[in-house]
Amino acid sequence: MKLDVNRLNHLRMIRRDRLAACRAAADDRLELRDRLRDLERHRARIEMNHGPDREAEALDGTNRRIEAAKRELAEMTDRENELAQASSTAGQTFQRALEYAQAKGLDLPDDLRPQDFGAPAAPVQENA
Amino acid sequence: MAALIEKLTTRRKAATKGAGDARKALSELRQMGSRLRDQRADIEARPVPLAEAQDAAAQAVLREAEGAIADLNLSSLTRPQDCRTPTLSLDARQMAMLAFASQAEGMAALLSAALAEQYRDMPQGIAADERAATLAKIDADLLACELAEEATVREQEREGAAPLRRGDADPRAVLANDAELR
Repeated sequence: MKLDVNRLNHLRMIRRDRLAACRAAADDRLELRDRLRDLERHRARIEMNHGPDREAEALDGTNRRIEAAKRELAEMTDRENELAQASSTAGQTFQRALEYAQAKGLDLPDDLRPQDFGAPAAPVQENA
Repeated sequence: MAALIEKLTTRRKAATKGAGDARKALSELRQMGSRLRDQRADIEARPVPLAEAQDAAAQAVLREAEGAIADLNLSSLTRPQDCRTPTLSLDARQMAMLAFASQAEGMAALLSAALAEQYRDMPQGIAADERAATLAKIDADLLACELAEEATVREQEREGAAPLRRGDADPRAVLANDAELR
């Protein structure tokens, strides 16, 4: 069967894309978490500063926003987990293909060859 | 204008249906691959045929019996006797092995019957050449299935979708030249 080692570049690109998507989702989740924290601080301030007659009205809106942010955060966490799973699967596919190509002694693209920096230099001997 | 919109709508629906069909095909191919891998594991785990196991038991008994006799030191019986009573310098294990050797045929029959009993609850045995041939056939089917799966994935990629390859996809399929997948 004819194999095409350039397919490795394609698999590596997919792995990179999936990893990037996963990292972007992690950033979004952190942003959402910060927003939720801000909203909770805001609610705490309302509870401290407003009198009981205005407190219920002001809290109502904030509570709704907090609930919405919590739902969004839960959804984003699920999404991030899915993306992490996909990223890991893409990594496994690439790694298996790379190891197979190496084991078969296929002529790998330059940037996928195992790095070989040569044999370590011989130790310098004193009084040589 | 209406005709153009109608045409584009038809095309969009066809594309949506096509994408759905491709997803379905991929899922079916994966199920087929999974079934083939299960079949492979089943064939690998099947025991040897009963007759082969019984033959192996008979040979093992014979080997043990031969070993028991070969280990004996009978010099005390071959030396000229003076006034001493003849003795066997055998330990308990050697005596047990000697008893075993004297009953080798009976032991083999006993093991044979035990094996026959055990095989009643086991999957049917399979001979080595039949096992090898069946595994080779399954492996060929598996490779064909993996190649078809990879071809479907590449088709979907060309159409802009991003289906996920399996982490344990066969490297021969994912590295296969496009021409191999037609």
